[in-house]
Amino acid sequence: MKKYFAIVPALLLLVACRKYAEGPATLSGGAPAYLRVFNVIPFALTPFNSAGTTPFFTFLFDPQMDAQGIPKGGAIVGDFLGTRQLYCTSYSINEGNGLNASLDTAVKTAINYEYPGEAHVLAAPPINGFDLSAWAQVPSGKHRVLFISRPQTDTPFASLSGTIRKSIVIDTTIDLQAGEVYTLEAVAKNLDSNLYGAYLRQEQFIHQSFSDSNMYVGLFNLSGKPSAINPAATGSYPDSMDVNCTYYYFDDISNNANGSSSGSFYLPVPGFNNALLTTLNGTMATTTQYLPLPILPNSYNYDEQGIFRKYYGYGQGNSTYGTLPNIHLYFTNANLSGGFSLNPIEVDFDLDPALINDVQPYLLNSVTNQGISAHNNQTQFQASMSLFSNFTGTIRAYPCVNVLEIVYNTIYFMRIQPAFYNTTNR
Amino acid sequence: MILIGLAAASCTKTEVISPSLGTIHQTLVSNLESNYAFSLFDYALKKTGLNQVIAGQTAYTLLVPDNDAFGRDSIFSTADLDKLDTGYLRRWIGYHIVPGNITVASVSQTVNNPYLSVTGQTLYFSRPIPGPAQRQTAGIDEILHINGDTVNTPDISVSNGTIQVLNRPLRLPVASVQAYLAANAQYSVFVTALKNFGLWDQLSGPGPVTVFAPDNNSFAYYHITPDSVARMDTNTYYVNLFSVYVSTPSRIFITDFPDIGVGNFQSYYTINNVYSWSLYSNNGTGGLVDPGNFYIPGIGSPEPTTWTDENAITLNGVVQGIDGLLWVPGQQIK
Repeated sequence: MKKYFAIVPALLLLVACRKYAEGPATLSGGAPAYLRVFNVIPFALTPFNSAGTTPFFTFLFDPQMDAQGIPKGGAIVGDFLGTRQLYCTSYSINEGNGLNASLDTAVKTAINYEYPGEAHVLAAPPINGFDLSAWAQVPSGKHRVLFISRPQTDTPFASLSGTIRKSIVIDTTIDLQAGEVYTLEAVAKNLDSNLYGAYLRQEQFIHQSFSDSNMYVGLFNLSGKPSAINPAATGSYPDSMDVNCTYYYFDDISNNANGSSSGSFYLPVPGFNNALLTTLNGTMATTTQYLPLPILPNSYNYDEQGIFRKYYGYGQGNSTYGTLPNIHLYFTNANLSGGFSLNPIEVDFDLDPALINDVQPYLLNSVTNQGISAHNNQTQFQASMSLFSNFTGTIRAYPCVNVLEIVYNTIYFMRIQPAFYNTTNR
Repeated sequence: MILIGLAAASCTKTEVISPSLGTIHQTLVSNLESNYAFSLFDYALKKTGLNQVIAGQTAYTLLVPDNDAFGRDSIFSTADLDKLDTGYLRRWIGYHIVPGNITVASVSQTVNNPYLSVTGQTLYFSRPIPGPAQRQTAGIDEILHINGDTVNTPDISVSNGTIQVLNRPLRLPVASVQAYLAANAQYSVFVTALKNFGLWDQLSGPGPVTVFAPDNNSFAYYHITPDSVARMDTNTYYVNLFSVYVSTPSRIFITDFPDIGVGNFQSYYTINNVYSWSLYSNNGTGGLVDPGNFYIPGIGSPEPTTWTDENAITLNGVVQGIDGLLWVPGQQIK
């Protein structure tokens, strides 16, 4: 009888070890390339234009078809692919959460904000000193990819009806080179005629050298053709824009003199007071210039008592005015004269990166928050551009590459950060 | 050993099937015959011989208006059905039969998914799209709208098909938006205006076109007569005065508004790129619009403009009757 008591726990242990299905160790095809997939198609359906797609997809890599020629799966299935979060990092930002878990209490069904996201797949190694674990290993070479519009339910793709599984919105072939890092995004090309497409960017930052004294910012415009009538395009960024930058640091002297109740007081860093940072022309570019912004001495990040300063607390009243250095970008239409006076779109990079995705994205954008009346002077909030870490025991800012992607009236932020576990970065 | 057995058994979960109005042992025909609430539809099927179509093993989906639904169209008895021409009745009832097993979950989660009835005419199935502006959150996975009609009881499964119980009988599509407007006298002033401003001919084209048609009372309120509309000089007035009611390409059912989700004071729609509409909830308190509780704020109207003749489907679009004007002539003088 004793031996049975030994067998039972052993069996239970064996069962307990298998918590989830892992991704395939290898996929057929060439040597690995690295792929990350986003969906940035805005929700643009209106009763007057309801023929467009609902931007909630199943992503299929090397799709497999059933006997009727309808997709039934693929070598990679990125299911429940919702709109990406406003802020993400170069590692899986939500890795503590289960696959398909909604991080938004308003979303009751399964959702992933990117592929691979939390999927258990082999990830990219550190390249050029960057942590790239949010990119999945995929075989290089030519591959067909599909984005299929699917319901926002918990039903996995393979169990959906044939009618739904054949709702292919994007069908294209991508060519991946071994060892390269790619970001693939489902984009809208024309909201008025409901045209969509895939945008594939071979990331350049793995081949460039960056100074440890700076953080870098690179901008891409992934907007489709402008639409004058679709609410999803209200307050869009122009096709050609001047990007000005003001780099603020907190002014304790003025603040103390005026009392903290009246707000917070900032001064611009010399050389970064509404300075022209770059001009961004056209859309869907796959390369950009990564522009340096200095990392301020660490004393700027601490107050007079030696306490680490605060991020701006969005929507939480005066008590949460920020005190950390922060960057404001101002976007103006480069084709109009008048420059800065022309009601720029202002984006304040001053929120806590750990908290920004807790806020509904539309609330952080005055256009989508307040309606068409806020067409001019719109303000948006984004995460701080500074990468703070206490990796060495003291919180300080580290070099990083901040990739900003503009999609109509929204700006998405992806921070590429050093691989801290790689000793060369210590 | 017993423990191992129990452990093994506990891994197999038996799927529990909830009882529903239909059972897998019933057929479409036997289910209709055994439900008194479906007696009028059953009668109409048998009278037209369409019961033979659904009697075999081939799967069909029946869109069944129950007796209450027929009552909403003033059909209360088989005698009322007998008053209808049999040929018309066959086309009408046939429009409620769709090949295949169409459950709510099998329909794409968007609006106006086309399905063909056995008569060869198109039906438009819609499901609510989840999102921040979606107010139909309770039981959202069971909500189905067909041609703007609501399915009250979804997914009754039987051995050879599925039954979706409708709130009202479906309206049989007429030839065109133009034909519908011409055939309904309450739109005669509007028709005169459309003709005068060169907007009439497109309404018999391929479409799809949606017309928000003000009835004659809307014009009478402003003392606009058919004669005065006919005499309106198009050199004096912008065509926008009447093109605002014509949306193309679009096929809009009223349920599209709640199904897509419309934010109050935030959503603006343009018809023919000439005019933006906003749709408000009746309570006007802000926030999001309640489903089924829309009105169009008629400019200059004494009361909010409301729907009066809903979801009149045609082969090239839809007519939505409204009881107010969006613009009065004085607002569109060149």
